[in-house]
Amino acid sequence: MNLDELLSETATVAEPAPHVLESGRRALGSAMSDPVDAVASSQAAQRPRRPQRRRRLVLVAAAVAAASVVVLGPVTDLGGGPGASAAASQVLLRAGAAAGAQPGGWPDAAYWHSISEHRRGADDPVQRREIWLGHRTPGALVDPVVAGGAAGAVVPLGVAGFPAGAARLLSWDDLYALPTDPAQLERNLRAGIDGAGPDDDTELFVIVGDLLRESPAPPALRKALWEVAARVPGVELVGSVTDGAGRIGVAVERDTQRYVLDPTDGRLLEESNGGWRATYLEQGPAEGVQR
Amino acid sequence: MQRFAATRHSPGVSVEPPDTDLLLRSRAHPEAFGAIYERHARAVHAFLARRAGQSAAQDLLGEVFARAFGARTRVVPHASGSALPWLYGIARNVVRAHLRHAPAGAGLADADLVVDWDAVDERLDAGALRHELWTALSALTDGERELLLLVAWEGLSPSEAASVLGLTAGAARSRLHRARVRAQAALDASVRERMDVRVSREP
Repeated sequence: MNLDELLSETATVAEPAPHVLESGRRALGSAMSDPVDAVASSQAAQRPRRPQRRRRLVLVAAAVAAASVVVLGPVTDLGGGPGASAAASQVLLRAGAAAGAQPGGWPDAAYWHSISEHRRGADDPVQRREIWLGHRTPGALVDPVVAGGAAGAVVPLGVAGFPAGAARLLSWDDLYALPTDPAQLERNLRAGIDGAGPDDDTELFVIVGDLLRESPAPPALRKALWEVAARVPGVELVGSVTDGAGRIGVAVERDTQRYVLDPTDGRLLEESNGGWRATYLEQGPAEGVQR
Repeated sequence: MQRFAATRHSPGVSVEPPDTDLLLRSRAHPEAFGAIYERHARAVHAFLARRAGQSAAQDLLGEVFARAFGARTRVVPHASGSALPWLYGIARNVVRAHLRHAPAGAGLADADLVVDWDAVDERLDAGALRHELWTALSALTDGERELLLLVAWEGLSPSEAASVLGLTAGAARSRLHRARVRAQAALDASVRERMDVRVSREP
Protein backbone atom coordinates (compact mmCIF):
# COMPACT_ATOMS: atom_id res chain seq x y z
CA MET A 1 0.00 0.00 0.00
CA ASN A 2 1.10 3.51 -0.72
CA LEU A 3 2.26 5.32 2.44
CA ASP A 4 0.34 8.52 1.72
CA GLU A 5 -2.90 6.62 1.16
CA LEU A 6 -2.36 4.70 4.35
CA LEU A 7 -1.70 7.82 6.39
CA SER A 8 -4.63 9.66 4.90
CA GLU A 9 -7.01 6.75 5.54
CA THR A 10 -5.84 6.35 9.12
CA ALA A 11 -6.24 10.08 9.76
CA THR A 12 -10.01 9.94 9.52
CA VAL A 13 -11.82 10.76 12.75
CA ALA A 14 -15.39 11.80 13.46
CA GLU A 15 -16.26 15.47 13.80
CA PRO A 16 -16.87 16.50 17.41
CA ALA A 17 -20.53 16.55 18.40
CA PRO A 18 -21.96 19.98 19.23
CA HIS A 19 -22.07 19.16 22.94
CA VAL A 20 -18.34 18.32 22.86
CA LEU A 21 -17.53 21.71 21.36
CA GLU A 22 -19.84 23.36 23.86
CA SER A 23 -18.16 21.69 26.81
CA GLY A 24 -14.72 22.76 25.52
CA ARG A 25 -16.07 26.28 25.17
CA ARG A 26 -17.26 26.17 28.77
CA ALA A 27 -13.86 24.96 29.99
CA LEU A 28 -12.18 27.82 28.16
CA GLY A 29 -14.75 30.24 29.55
CA SER A 30 -14.03 29.21 33.10
CA ALA A 31 -10.27 29.47 32.47
CA MET A 32 -10.93 33.01 31.24
CA SER A 33 -12.88 33.82 34.36
CA ASP A 34 -10.26 32.32 36.63
CA PRO A 35 -6.89 32.38 34.91
CA VAL A 36 -5.06 31.70 38.16
CA ASP A 37 -6.44 28.17 38.30
CA ALA A 38 -6.04 27.68 34.60
CA VAL A 39 -2.41 28.68 34.71
CA ALA A 40 -1.66 26.76 37.89
CA SER A 41 -3.10 23.58 36.44
CA SER A 42 -1.20 24.01 33.23
CA GLN A 43 2.30 24.76 34.45
CA ALA A 44 3.58 21.38 33.36
CA ALA A 45 2.36 21.93 29.85
CA GLN A 46 3.96 25.26 29.18
CA ARG A 47 7.17 26.01 27.44
CA PRO A 48 9.93 26.43 30.00
CA ARG A 49 9.60 29.56 32.05
CA ARG A 50 12.20 32.23 31.98
CA PRO A 51 15.19 31.36 34.14
CA GLN A 52 14.67 32.23 37.77
CA ARG A 53 18.03 33.97 37.88
CA ARG A 54 16.82 36.73 35.64
CA ARG A 55 13.75 37.13 37.78
CA ARG A 56 15.72 37.60 40.97
CA LEU A 57 17.92 40.18 39.32
CA VAL A 58 14.87 42.10 38.27
CA LEU A 59 13.41 41.96 41.74
CA VAL A 60 16.67 43.22 43.23
CA ALA A 61 16.70 46.05 40.71
CA ALA A 62 13.14 46.92 41.64
CA ALA A 63 14.00 46.90 45.32
CA VAL A 64 16.95 49.21 44.70
CA ALA A 65 14.81 51.57 42.68
CA ALA A 66 12.20 51.64 45.40
CA ALA A 67 14.78 52.29 48.10
CA SER A 68 16.33 55.17 46.20
CA VAL A 69 12.95 56.84 45.98
CA VAL A 70 12.44 56.56 49.70
CA VAL A 71 15.79 58.11 50.44
CA LEU A 72 16.08 60.70 47.73
CA GLY A 73 12.52 61.45 46.76
CA PRO A 74 10.82 61.12 43.39
CA VAL A 75 12.98 63.78 41.75
CA THR A 76 15.58 61.10 41.06
CA ASP A 77 13.15 59.58 38.59
CA LEU A 78 13.79 62.48 36.27
CA GLY A 79 17.43 61.60 36.01
CA GLY A 80 16.85 58.54 33.84
CA GLY A 81 18.98 56.03 35.69
CA PRO A 82 17.44 52.57 35.68
CA GLY A 83 14.02 53.82 34.55
CA ALA A 84 12.72 55.39 31.36
CA SER A 85 14.87 57.93 29.54
CA ALA A 86 14.82 61.37 31.15
CA ALA A 87 12.72 62.84 28.35
CA ALA A 88 10.21 59.97 28.36
CA SER A 89 10.06 60.03 32.12
CA GLN A 90 9.29 63.73 32.14
CA VAL A 91 6.40 63.28 29.70
CA LEU A 92 5.01 60.31 31.63
CA LEU A 93 5.19 62.06 34.97
CA ARG A 94 3.53 65.15 33.52
CA ALA A 95 0.76 63.00 32.00
CA GLY A 96 0.40 61.24 35.33
CA ALA A 97 0.05 64.51 37.18
CA ALA A 98 -2.57 65.68 34.67
CA ALA A 99 -4.49 62.40 35.00
CA GLY A 100 -4.31 62.56 38.79
CA ALA A 101 -5.71 66.07 38.80
CA GLN A 102 -9.04 64.80 37.43
CA PRO A 103 -11.78 64.45 40.02
CA GLY A 104 -12.87 61.29 41.80
CA GLY A 105 -13.36 57.97 40.09
CA TRP A 106 -16.11 55.54 39.25
CA PRO A 107 -16.17 53.03 42.11
CA ASP A 108 -19.95 52.56 41.89
CA ALA A 109 -20.67 52.82 38.18
CA ALA A 110 -22.51 49.87 36.62
CA TYR A 111 -20.64 49.77 33.30
CA TRP A 112 -17.61 51.23 31.62
CA HIS A 113 -18.28 52.07 28.01
CA SER A 114 -15.47 52.45 25.47
CA ILE A 115 -15.35 53.06 21.75
CA SER A 116 -12.15 52.42 19.85
CA GLU A 117 -10.83 51.75 16.38
CA HIS A 118 -8.45 48.92 15.56
CA ARG A 119 -6.24 48.27 12.62
CA ARG A 120 -4.37 45.02 12.10
CA GLY A 121 -1.65 46.36 9.84
CA ALA A 122 -0.89 49.56 7.96
CA ASP A 123 -2.76 48.36 4.86
CA ASP A 124 -5.74 46.86 6.65
CA PRO A 125 -9.14 48.43 7.19
CA VAL A 126 -9.89 50.21 10.44
CA GLN A 127 -12.52 48.37 12.48
CA ARG A 128 -14.64 49.87 15.18
CA ARG A 129 -14.98 48.26 18.59
CA GLU A 130 -17.44 49.14 21.28
CA ILE A 131 -17.44 47.51 24.69
CA TRP A 132 -19.51 47.68 27.86
CA LEU A 133 -17.58 46.29 30.80
CA GLY A 134 -19.92 45.21 33.58
CA HIS A 135 -18.95 46.05 37.13
CA ARG A 136 -21.07 43.31 38.70
CA THR A 137 -23.20 42.21 35.76
CA PRO A 138 -22.37 40.77 32.33
CA GLY A 139 -21.12 43.17 29.69
CA ALA A 140 -21.27 43.22 25.91
CA LEU A 141 -18.91 43.69 23.01
CA VAL A 142 -19.37 44.73 19.42
CA ASP A 143 -16.18 43.92 17.55
CA PRO A 144 -16.17 42.32 14.09
CA VAL A 145 -12.79 40.68 14.73
CA VAL A 146 -13.95 38.88 17.83
CA ALA A 147 -17.34 38.13 16.26
CA GLY A 148 -15.59 36.32 13.42
CA GLY A 149 -16.17 39.05 10.86
CA ALA A 150 -19.87 39.54 11.58
CA ALA A 151 -20.31 43.31 11.59
CA GLY A 152 -22.61 44.58 14.33
CA ALA A 153 -22.90 41.22 16.10
CA VAL A 154 -23.09 41.58 19.88
CA VAL A 155 -20.76 39.24 21.76
CA PRO A 156 -21.99 38.71 25.33
CA LEU A 157 -19.28 39.14 27.94
CA GLY A 158 -19.05 38.07 31.54
CA VAL A 159 -18.35 40.40 34.44
CA ALA A 160 -15.38 42.64 33.67
CA GLY A 161 -11.85 41.52 34.51
CA PHE A 162 -8.63 43.35 33.86
CA PRO A 163 -5.52 41.30 33.00
CA ALA A 164 -2.39 42.11 34.99
CA GLY A 165 0.20 39.45 34.28
CA ALA A 166 -0.13 35.83 33.25
CA ALA A 167 -1.95 34.59 36.31
CA ARG A 168 -3.79 37.64 37.47
CA LEU A 169 -7.14 39.07 36.59
CA LEU A 170 -8.33 42.08 38.56
CA SER A 171 -11.96 42.91 39.18
CA TRP A 172 -13.35 46.42 38.94
CA ASP A 173 -13.17 46.70 42.74
CA ASP A 174 -9.58 45.37 42.70
CA LEU A 175 -8.62 48.33 40.51
CA TYR A 176 -9.82 50.65 43.24
CA ALA A 177 -7.82 48.75 45.87
CA LEU A 178 -4.46 48.87 44.05
CA PRO A 179 -1.80 51.04 45.70
CA THR A 180 -1.42 54.46 44.11
CA ASP A 181 2.10 55.05 45.33
CA PRO A 182 4.23 54.29 42.25
CA ALA A 183 6.87 52.25 44.09
CA GLN A 184 4.23 50.15 45.81
CA LEU A 185 2.22 49.78 42.63
CA GLU A 186 5.31 48.70 40.71
CA ARG A 187 6.11 46.08 43.33
CA ASN A 188 2.53 44.90 43.31
CA LEU A 189 2.37 44.60 39.52
CA ARG A 190 5.79 42.99 39.17
CA ALA A 191 4.81 40.36 41.73
CA GLY A 192 1.86 39.38 39.52
CA ILE A 193 3.88 39.01 36.31
CA ASP A 194 5.10 35.56 37.28
CA GLY A 195 6.92 34.69 34.09
CA ALA A 196 4.51 36.26 31.59
CA GLY A 197 5.89 38.06 28.58
CA PRO A 198 9.43 37.92 27.25
CA ASP A 199 10.81 39.61 30.37
CA ASP A 200 9.48 41.49 33.38
CA ASP A 201 10.20 45.01 32.15
CA THR A 202 8.49 44.41 28.82
CA GLU A 203 5.56 42.85 30.60
CA LEU A 204 5.27 45.65 33.15
CA PHE A 205 5.13 48.25 30.40
CA VAL A 206 2.37 46.26 28.70
CA ILE A 207 0.43 45.86 31.94
CA VAL A 208 0.34 49.65 32.30
CA GLY A 209 -1.59 49.67 29.02
CA ASP A 210 -3.72 46.70 30.13
CA LEU A 211 -4.97 48.69 33.10
CA LEU A 212 -5.46 51.98 31.25
CA ARG A 213 -7.28 50.90 28.11
CA GLU A 214 -11.01 50.22 28.36
CA SER A 215 -10.74 50.61 32.10
CA PRO A 216 -12.55 52.49 34.87
CA ALA A 217 -9.23 52.98 36.70
CA PRO A 218 -9.61 56.03 38.96
CA PRO A 219 -7.49 59.14 38.30
CA ALA A 220 -5.16 58.33 41.21
CA LEU A 221 -4.40 54.92 39.68
CA ARG A 222 -3.96 56.39 36.19
CA LYS A 223 -1.42 58.79 37.66
CA ALA A 224 0.40 55.97 39.42
CA LEU A 225 0.38 53.80 36.26
CA TRP A 226 2.08 56.48 34.19
CA GLU A 227 4.56 56.93 37.03
CA VAL A 228 5.25 53.19 36.95
CA ALA A 229 5.80 53.43 33.19
CA ALA A 230 8.36 56.16 33.90
CA ARG A 231 10.26 53.68 36.06
CA VAL A 232 10.55 51.00 33.37
CA PRO A 233 14.03 50.81 31.84
CA GLY A 234 14.21 51.24 28.09
CA VAL A 235 11.21 53.52 27.63
CA GLU A 236 12.03 56.26 25.14
CA LEU A 237 10.30 59.46 24.11
CA VAL A 238 9.18 59.41 20.47
CA GLY A 239 7.80 62.94 20.57
CA SER A 240 4.71 64.65 19.28
CA VAL A 241 2.55 62.52 16.96
CA THR A 242 -0.88 62.66 15.36
CA ASP A 243 -2.99 59.61 16.20
CA GLY A 244 -5.39 57.67 13.99
CA ALA A 245 -8.21 60.05 14.90
CA GLY A 246 -6.17 63.12 14.01
CA ARG A 247 -5.51 64.10 17.61
CA ILE A 248 -2.12 65.39 18.65
CA GLY A 249 -0.44 63.55 21.46
CA VAL A 250 2.95 62.55 22.76
CA ALA A 251 4.30 59.07 22.10
CA VAL A 252 6.53 56.97 24.32
CA GLU A 253 7.84 53.62 23.22
CA ARG A 254 9.58 50.53 24.53
CA ASP A 255 10.72 48.05 21.88
CA THR A 256 7.70 47.82 19.60
CA GLN A 257 5.06 48.79 22.16
CA ARG A 258 4.03 52.43 21.80
CA TYR A 259 1.61 54.55 23.80
CA VAL A 260 0.30 57.88 22.61
CA LEU A 261 -0.96 59.96 25.46
CA ASP A 262 -2.58 63.33 25.87
CA PRO A 263 -0.22 65.26 28.16
CA THR A 264 -2.95 67.69 29.14
CA ASP A 265 -5.19 65.12 30.82
CA GLY A 266 -3.13 61.93 30.86
CA ARG A 267 -5.54 60.01 28.62
CA LEU A 268 -4.29 57.02 26.63
CA LEU A 269 -5.17 58.11 23.10
CA GLU A 270 -3.66 55.28 21.11
CA GLU A 271 -1.34 52.32 21.30
CA SER A 272 0.42 50.31 18.66
CA ASN A 273 2.67 47.32 18.37
CA GLY A 274 4.18 46.60 14.98
CA GLY A 275 1.40 47.18 12.46
CA TRP A 276 -1.37 46.69 15.01
CA ARG A 277 -2.93 49.92 16.23
CA ALA A 278 -5.77 50.72 18.61
CA THR A 279 -7.14 54.23 18.85
CA TYR A 280 -9.28 54.96 21.90
CA LEU A 281 -11.95 57.43 20.90
CA GLU A 282 -14.06 57.79 24.00
CA GLN A 283 -14.71 56.08 27.27
CA GLY A 284 -16.71 56.72 30.38
CA PRO A 285 -19.20 55.32 32.90
CA ALA A 286 -22.57 54.04 31.68
CA GLU A 287 -25.73 52.88 33.39
CA GLY A 288 -26.51 50.10 30.97
CA VAL A 289 -25.69 48.46 27.67
CA GLN A 290 -27.27 50.69 25.07
CA ARG A 291 -26.68 50.86 21.37
CA MET B 1 -19.27 33.17 35.97
CA GLN B 2 -17.83 33.31 32.52
CA ARG B 3 -15.54 36.08 31.64
CA PHE B 4 -15.71 37.35 28.11
CA ALA B 5 -16.90 34.00 26.91
CA ALA B 6 -17.47 34.54 23.24
CA THR B 7 -20.54 32.77 21.95
CA ARG B 8 -20.71 30.81 18.76
CA HIS B 9 -20.94 32.86 15.66
CA SER B 10 -21.69 32.33 12.03
CA PRO B 11 -18.70 31.86 9.76
CA GLY B 12 -16.88 35.07 8.95
CA VAL B 13 -18.13 37.17 6.12
CA SER B 14 -15.08 39.38 5.82
CA VAL B 15 -11.40 38.58 5.62
CA GLU B 16 -10.36 36.69 8.74
CA PRO B 17 -7.44 38.06 10.69
CA PRO B 18 -4.49 35.70 11.00
CA ASP B 19 -4.04 33.94 14.33
CA THR B 20 -1.07 36.12 15.16
CA ASP B 21 -3.37 39.13 15.11
CA LEU B 22 -5.93 37.42 17.33
CA LEU B 23 -3.21 36.31 19.74
CA LEU B 24 -1.81 39.81 19.89
CA ARG B 25 -5.30 41.12 20.52
CA SER B 26 -6.02 38.47 23.11
CA ARG B 27 -3.11 39.86 25.06
CA ALA B 28 -4.97 43.13 25.44
CA HIS B 29 -8.49 41.81 24.95
CA PRO B 30 -8.69 38.26 26.36
CA GLU B 31 -12.11 37.66 24.83
CA ALA B 32 -10.42 37.57 21.42
CA PHE B 33 -9.14 34.16 22.46
CA GLY B 34 -12.68 32.88 22.03
CA ALA B 35 -12.19 33.38 18.29
CA ILE B 36 -9.09 31.16 18.42
CA TYR B 37 -11.28 28.45 19.94
CA GLU B 38 -13.99 28.77 17.32
CA ARG B 39 -11.37 28.62 14.61
CA HIS B 40 -9.33 25.67 15.83
CA ALA B 41 -11.41 23.57 18.24
CA ARG B 42 -12.25 21.04 15.49
CA ALA B 43 -8.63 20.59 14.42
CA VAL B 44 -7.44 20.21 18.00
CA HIS B 45 -10.26 17.74 18.65
CA ALA B 46 -9.17 15.71 15.62
CA PHE B 47 -5.59 15.73 16.90
CA LEU B 48 -6.75 14.41 20.26
CA ALA B 49 -9.10 11.84 18.74
CA ARG B 50 -6.41 10.47 16.40
CA ARG B 51 -3.94 10.01 19.19
CA ALA B 52 -6.01 9.29 22.27
CA GLY B 53 -9.43 8.19 21.00
CA GLN B 54 -12.82 9.89 20.76
CA SER B 55 -13.75 9.67 24.39
CA ALA B 56 -10.44 11.09 25.65
CA ALA B 57 -10.65 13.83 23.01
CA GLN B 58 -13.97 14.87 24.44
CA ASP B 59 -12.46 15.15 27.92
CA LEU B 60 -9.25 16.87 26.89
CA LEU B 61 -10.43 19.47 24.36
CA GLY B 62 -11.31 22.11 26.95
CA GLU B 63 -8.11 21.50 28.87
CA VAL B 64 -5.96 22.20 25.82
CA PHE B 65 -7.63 25.57 25.30
CA ALA B 66 -7.66 26.46 28.99
CA ARG B 67 -3.92 25.86 29.08
CA ALA B 68 -3.44 27.75 25.85
CA PHE B 69 -5.37 30.72 27.27
CA GLY B 70 -3.12 30.75 30.33
CA ALA B 71 -0.06 30.63 28.09
CA ARG B 72 -1.24 33.12 25.48
CA THR B 73 1.18 35.80 26.67
CA ARG B 74 4.09 33.45 26.11
CA VAL B 75 3.29 32.26 22.63
CA VAL B 76 5.54 33.01 19.70
CA PRO B 77 3.35 32.07 16.74
CA HIS B 78 4.85 30.27 13.77
CA ALA B 79 5.89 32.45 10.85
CA SER B 80 2.98 30.97 8.86
CA GLY B 81 0.64 32.99 11.10
CA SER B 82 -1.15 29.85 12.29
CA ALA B 83 -1.64 29.14 15.98
CA LEU B 84 -2.07 25.43 15.25
CA PRO B 85 1.56 24.35 15.69
CA TRP B 86 1.47 26.02 19.10
CA LEU B 87 -1.90 24.48 19.99
CA TYR B 88 -0.70 21.01 18.90
CA GLY B 89 2.37 21.46 21.10
CA ILE B 90 0.09 22.07 24.06
CA ALA B 91 -2.20 19.23 22.98
CA ARG B 92 0.78 16.83 22.92
CA ASN B 93 1.57 17.74 26.50
CA VAL B 94 -2.05 17.27 27.51
CA VAL B 95 -2.19 13.83 25.84
CA ARG B 96 1.11 12.88 27.46
CA ALA B 97 -0.18 13.83 30.90
CA HIS B 98 -3.43 11.98 30.16
CA LEU B 99 -1.56 8.80 29.22
CA ARG B 100 0.59 8.95 32.34
CA HIS B 101 -2.54 8.93 34.44
CA ALA B 102 -4.34 6.43 32.29
CA PRO B 103 -4.99 2.96 33.73
CA ALA B 104 -2.23 0.39 33.37
CA GLY B 105 -2.27 -1.31 30.02
CA ALA B 106 -3.16 1.83 28.13
CA GLY B 107 -0.71 2.94 25.49
CA LEU B 108 2.46 4.47 26.80
CA ALA B 109 3.88 7.68 25.52
CA ASP B 110 7.56 8.44 25.30
CA ALA B 111 9.18 11.83 25.11
CA ASP B 112 8.84 12.31 21.36
CA LEU B 113 5.86 10.33 20.24
CA VAL B 114 2.58 10.99 21.97
CA VAL B 115 0.11 8.38 20.81
CA ASP B 116 -2.11 5.98 22.70
CA TRP B 117 -1.72 2.95 20.43
CA ASP B 118 -4.60 1.13 22.10
CA ALA B 119 -6.86 3.99 21.14
CA VAL B 120 -5.48 4.00 17.61
CA ASP B 121 -6.10 0.26 17.36
CA GLU B 122 -9.63 0.73 18.56
CA ARG B 123 -10.23 3.49 16.06
CA LEU B 124 -8.81 1.52 13.14
CA ASP B 125 -10.88 -1.57 13.70
CA ALA B 126 -10.33 -2.55 10.10
CA GLY B 127 -7.56 -5.10 10.69
CA ALA B 128 -5.62 -4.52 7.51
CA LEU B 129 -5.19 -0.78 8.05
CA ARG B 130 -4.09 -1.30 11.60
CA HIS B 131 -1.50 -3.84 10.58
CA GLU B 132 -0.17 -1.68 7.78
CA LEU B 133 0.10 1.41 9.95
CA TRP B 134 2.02 -0.59 12.53
CA THR B 135 4.30 -1.96 9.86
CA ALA B 136 5.04 1.46 8.39
CA LEU B 137 5.54 3.29 11.67
CA SER B 138 7.53 0.60 13.43
CA ALA B 139 10.31 1.18 10.91
CA LEU B 140 10.76 4.70 12.30
CA THR B 141 12.21 6.27 15.39
CA ASP B 142 9.74 7.95 17.74
CA GLY B 143 10.84 11.40 16.63
CA GLU B 144 10.37 10.47 12.96
CA ARG B 145 6.91 9.03 13.63
CA GLU B 146 5.75 12.17 15.38
CA LEU B 147 7.07 14.35 12.59
CA LEU B 148 5.44 12.20 9.93
CA LEU B 149 2.11 12.18 11.76
CA LEU B 150 2.10 15.94 12.39
CA VAL B 151 2.50 16.43 8.65
CA ALA B 152 0.35 13.55 7.36
CA TRP B 153 -2.41 13.44 9.97
CA GLU B 154 -2.51 17.03 11.16
CA GLY B 155 -1.63 18.66 7.86
CA LEU B 156 1.10 20.90 9.19
CA SER B 157 3.84 22.06 6.86
CA PRO B 158 7.25 20.49 7.59
CA SER B 159 8.38 23.84 8.97
CA GLU B 160 5.35 24.09 11.26
CA ALA B 161 5.84 20.52 12.45
CA ALA B 162 9.48 21.38 13.12
CA SER B 163 8.44 24.16 15.46
CA VAL B 164 6.21 21.78 17.45
CA LEU B 165 9.16 19.46 17.99
CA GLY B 166 11.81 22.11 18.48
CA LEU B 167 13.67 21.23 15.26
CA THR B 168 14.99 23.49 12.55
CA ALA B 169 12.95 23.45 9.36
CA GLY B 170 15.88 21.99 7.44
CA ALA B 171 16.42 19.16 9.91
CA ALA B 172 12.69 18.39 9.84
CA ARG B 173 12.59 18.23 6.05
CA SER B 174 15.49 15.79 5.76
CA ARG B 175 14.22 13.69 8.67
CA LEU B 176 10.78 13.60 7.08
CA HIS B 177 12.22 12.48 3.77
CA ARG B 178 14.16 9.66 5.42
CA ALA B 179 11.09 8.66 7.40
CA ARG B 180 8.90 8.45 4.29
CA VAL B 181 11.44 6.35 2.41
CA ARG B 182 11.87 3.91 5.30
CA ALA B 183 8.16 3.64 6.06
CA GLN B 184 7.32 2.95 2.42
CA ALA B 185 10.14 0.37 2.23
CA ALA B 186 8.74 -1.36 5.30
CA LEU B 187 5.29 -1.46 3.71
CA ASP B 188 6.68 -2.90 0.49
CA ALA B 189 8.72 -5.49 2.36
CA SER B 190 5.69 -6.58 4.33
CA VAL B 191 3.66 -7.03 1.14
CA ARG B 192 6.48 -9.15 -0.35
CA GLU B 193 6.68 -11.18 2.83
CA ARG B 194 2.98 -11.97 2.76
CA MET B 195 3.15 -12.91 -0.88
CA ASP B 196 6.13 -15.18 -0.15
CA VAL B 197 4.20 -16.83 2.64
CA ARG B 198 1.28 -17.39 0.34
CA VAL B 199 3.50 -18.77 -2.40
CA SER B 200 5.33 -21.14 -0.04
CA ARG B 201 2.02 -22.46 1.30
CA GLU B 202 0.87 -23.52 -2.10
CA PRO B 203 1.16 -27.25 -2.52
